[in-house]
Amino acid sequence: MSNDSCRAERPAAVRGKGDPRLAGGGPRGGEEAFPTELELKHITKTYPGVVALDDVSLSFREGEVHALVGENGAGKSTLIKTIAGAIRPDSGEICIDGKSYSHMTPAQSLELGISVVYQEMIQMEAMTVMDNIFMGMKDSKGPFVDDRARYKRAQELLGYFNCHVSPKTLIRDLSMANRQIVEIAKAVAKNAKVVIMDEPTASITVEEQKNLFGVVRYLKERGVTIIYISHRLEELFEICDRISVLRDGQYVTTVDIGETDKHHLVSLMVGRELSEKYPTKPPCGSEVVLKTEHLSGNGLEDINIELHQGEILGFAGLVGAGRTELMHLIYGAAHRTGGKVWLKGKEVHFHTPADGLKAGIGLIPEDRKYQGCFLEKPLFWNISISNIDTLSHGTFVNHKAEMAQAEDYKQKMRIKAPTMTQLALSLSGGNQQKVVIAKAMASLPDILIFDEPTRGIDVGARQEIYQMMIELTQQGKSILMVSSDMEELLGMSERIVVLYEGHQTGVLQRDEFSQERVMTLASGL
Amino acid sequence: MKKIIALLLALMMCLGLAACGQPSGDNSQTPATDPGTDATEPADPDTSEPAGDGEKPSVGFVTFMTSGEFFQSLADTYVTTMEAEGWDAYYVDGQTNPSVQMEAAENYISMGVDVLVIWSVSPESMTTVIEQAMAQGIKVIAFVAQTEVYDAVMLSDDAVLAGNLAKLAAQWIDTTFADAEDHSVPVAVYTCRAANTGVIQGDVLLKIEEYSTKAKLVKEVECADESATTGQTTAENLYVTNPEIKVFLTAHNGLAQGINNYFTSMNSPVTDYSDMGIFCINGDTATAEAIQASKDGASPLRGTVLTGSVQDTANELRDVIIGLHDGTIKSGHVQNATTLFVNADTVDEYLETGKTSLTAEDFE
Amino acid sequence: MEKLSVHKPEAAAGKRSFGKIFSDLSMPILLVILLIVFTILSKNFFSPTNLVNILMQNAHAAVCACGIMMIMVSGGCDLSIGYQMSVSAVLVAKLLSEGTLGVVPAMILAIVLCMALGAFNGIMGIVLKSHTMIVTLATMSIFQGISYLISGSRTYHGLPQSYMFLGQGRIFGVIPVNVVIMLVIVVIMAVIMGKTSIGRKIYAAGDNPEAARLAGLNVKKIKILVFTFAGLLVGIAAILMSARSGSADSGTSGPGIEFDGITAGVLAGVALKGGEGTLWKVIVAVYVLGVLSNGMQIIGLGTYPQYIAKGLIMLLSLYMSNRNAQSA
Repeated sequence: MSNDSCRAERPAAVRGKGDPRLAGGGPRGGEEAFPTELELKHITKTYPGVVALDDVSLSFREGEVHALVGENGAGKSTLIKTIAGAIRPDSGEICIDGKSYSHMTPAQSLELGISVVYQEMIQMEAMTVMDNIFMGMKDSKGPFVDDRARYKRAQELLGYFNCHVSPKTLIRDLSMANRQIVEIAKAVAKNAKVVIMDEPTASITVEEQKNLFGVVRYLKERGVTIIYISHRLEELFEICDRISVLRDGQYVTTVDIGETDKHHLVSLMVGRELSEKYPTKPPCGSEVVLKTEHLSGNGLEDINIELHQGEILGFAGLVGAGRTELMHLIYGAAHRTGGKVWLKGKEVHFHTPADGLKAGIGLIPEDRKYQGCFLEKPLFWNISISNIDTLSHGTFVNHKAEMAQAEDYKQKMRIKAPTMTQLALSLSGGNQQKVVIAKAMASLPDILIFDEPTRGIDVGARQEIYQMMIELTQQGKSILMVSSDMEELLGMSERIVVLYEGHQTGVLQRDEFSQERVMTLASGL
Repeated sequence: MKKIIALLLALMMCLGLAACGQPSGDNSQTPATDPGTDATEPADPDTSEPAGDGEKPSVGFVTFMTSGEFFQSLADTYVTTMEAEGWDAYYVDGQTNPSVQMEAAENYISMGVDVLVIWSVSPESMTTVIEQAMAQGIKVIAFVAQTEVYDAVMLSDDAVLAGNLAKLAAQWIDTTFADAEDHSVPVAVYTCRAANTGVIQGDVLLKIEEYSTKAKLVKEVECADESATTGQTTAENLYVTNPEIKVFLTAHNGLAQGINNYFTSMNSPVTDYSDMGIFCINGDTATAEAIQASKDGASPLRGTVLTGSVQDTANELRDVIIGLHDGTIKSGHVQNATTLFVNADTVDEYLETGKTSLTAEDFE
Repeated sequence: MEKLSVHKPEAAAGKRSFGKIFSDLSMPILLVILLIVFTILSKNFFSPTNLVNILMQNAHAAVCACGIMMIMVSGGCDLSIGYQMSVSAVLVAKLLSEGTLGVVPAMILAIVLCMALGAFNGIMGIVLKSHTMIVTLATMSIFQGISYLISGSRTYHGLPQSYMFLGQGRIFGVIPVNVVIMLVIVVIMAVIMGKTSIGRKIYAAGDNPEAARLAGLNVKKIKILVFTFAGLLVGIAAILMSARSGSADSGTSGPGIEFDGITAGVLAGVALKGGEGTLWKVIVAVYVLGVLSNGMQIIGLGTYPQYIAKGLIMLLSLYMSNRNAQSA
């Protein structure tokens, strides 16, 4: 707790961008006509180096389906976590039933009738449907559970939603769609007044989706407020009443469904000025170093890309579009089911990351802490782990060469660490990222995959990493870059491949670059 | 609940079938929990009757355990002995676990055996299941461990057996150190107090001075388990503090072998074993061979006492089983086991015939 | 505020480094404490004979602990080691006492068999995608069966002198052979774990398997290799053990040793989740346990008080080695 408030005092680094004029701040006029269920006033939440929510004010009416949209990192998740009590905002208030709270706790929010159906549902896998529905509820007098009454009640609840699984089925035997229904039934059983649905259609079929919309309408009729988060813009027009747009942690606007269309929404979501300076990059060569043809597997289908020598090829897409999965597929970290990959004109078959590494591909993984760094190991150790064999005489590690290599990269990458024997744990995010890059570089790859190269890294270190990427391309290396940061993508890439739900929806040339174009393709429109 | 039981039963049946399907040419076998698996296993070709006779009387034996040569060979011998009489004989590994034994007994009751033999780990716990068996007309023999109810009980009194070992040891001490002063020969007793038998027998052995005029009890060495490794380690450690000790008494064969391993190893501080002796209860073939070696001065292991030979015990058991079955033995029969004395004089005889000519009377 | 925030970490770092040294050396410190206490309590304890006894009594356990430590560092756990040892001890003793094979071929056969069992554990862990603790719980039962099938519940003895020399012999009549073998293995293992690229990869695979995989290491291969190599060490330990006692049986030649090894590993700070651990500390921990059980007998403590004392000492050592973690 004290940590959080401490961090809050740090100046917000990316503040002041965006379009504050659009953000109404505070409840708008005309709101009184509808009874308000839940209202957020001036909510601000900062993380070190990032403003996740910047003075956001929003109100939700009783019995409406209210969609929240925005790009990756616009602040949707932070917002629902604030409402659910999972995080505590730095400032602002949450009003429910006319009462004002500075923050929620998970228990409080449940008690006030707020239920969240998370995308990754947290359920007791080995317990029955009815046990899950009534988990944490006092539905019987005395110490014994009245299973018969529970069974009946659960059956009744599921019946509302056209779901005919037995309440005695185990959760782990259900489909994703039915699991969602169980979560929603749970919310109804608790008489929830606000149900928040986080990407409910992300992992269900079209048929199941229809049923889900039926459920949503049923809830709405009962006067339940639904906060609906989705990347799929078209479905919003089917069930939502109003849509609020967030961008870079700021509230943009709220529109009635009748007053807008998809392209309008996209322009609201991306309407920002490119503020950061990106180093200019010399044009790339024409030689194709990497080519895929109808590449499929790991949730992807029919990917056709070409990477030129010295090029930075960007990959855009929303969360779950399959960008990281594609990188793993190319690197050999995932199983390929179809298609072909050529490396410098030679067809290759990678089965393990070791194959990719050997063929000259280096990966800087998405998750620095769990996939990139060995946090509890020294820096030199981290840097040399991929090329430890080349640093060895026979089987013995040449410690001198290892340290020399580490020092070399420390100089080149400007890693700020007093000694190379210190643990990776003790470094800042930016320096950790440089260590991970050094690790990938040490095996002397020709192609580097940067998966979210600057996520969670402060501005200064970002610029250094951008500079480093440019230098790498000047040395003839080619780069595949996945990023959820639109500015970074537009600023650094020479071409951008856009993915939507495992499919390639377009390749943009530099002169076609615009936020709207990328967003439109990434939304599958 | 019913489903679970049904599943378990199905699983057990599958396991049973799988095990029965195995070729049983090998006479060594792994301990098994399912009584069905051990049916007629170590059948000697010349003793086993043609299969398919459903009218044979049958007997089930819930053993104490089957790890260890003595226990395994008792079970095997019992099977061959009973089969020679035209019986179906089964046994199951009791795993020194009362609940395993109870389940096994219940399984035999369901199988409808005529006689049930139980060597119980915890006699109190078996009362209900024995009553259940008797209610179905099954004759129950309590073997070694006396249960509350039984049709016949075959006793091998722990204290008597230990007393016999003390007598055997006393005889050797008093002859070997005939010239020594009274109560001057240092003796150590190795105990393992993890089980009741060990406690009873250990306490008897600690009274060695009452049996021998020359012996002087110097130390009781308590061991955490009865393995040879422990025996060896503790003997090494004891030699550091008490190198004067000449005689080692223990109720546990493993400990005795461990002590013997130490004194016959290359590191042994003792090379002349003429004034040194190790004695234990229920020694196995390895023990007997060491006793044989002691005659040439190659080992300090001098003697062991056993509850009859394995064949003797099996024969006694056979007589009681058949007697109970045909009614010649009345319910409530009590039979005491005889003790075998193995020392330098009788070891050759023992290894050849499984019997010895020494009896308890020789020590009175 | 500024000043504080500058000085505080340094002060903390100074304190931590003391705590770190203390926790680093917790095992040697404990060993010295035990040696002193037992020397005070018994005049016989600190004699050359007894000290050599302690070294010899635990040589096979130390070799075994090397294998266990390696497996734990790679992120695995092997509960079947006791019966792996039982299998090869019984096999070698049977072959030698029945004169089927010569000493060297019998030993090689036993070690190779043990390596095969280890590899089986590793492969099963990969194929079944289960934690090796659960897999080896199952294979433990298999190995137990194999061991009894080989031995038929018999105790094998009467092994050749040349074989027993490995466990009982002394070079120049002074230096115990099994201790020398143990030390050679410990040194080799220390070099492998600390100085070679494969050692480095083992730590990486245990520390963060996903990062290791993405860094291009073949984590599966590493794990199978580790289990196979541990099998080699366990085979050697089985030989040292049976050569020391001059006999072997299925029930007691090995089973139980896995828990002593894991206990020593945990006391020495080998992380159960893998990726961390220092070999020499594990070996010292083996001897802490060895000195403890020897010393308690020498001072004449009964079995039951021994159990209590052992537990208390283990708690104490955990306190010492975790002081650092607690203060941080």
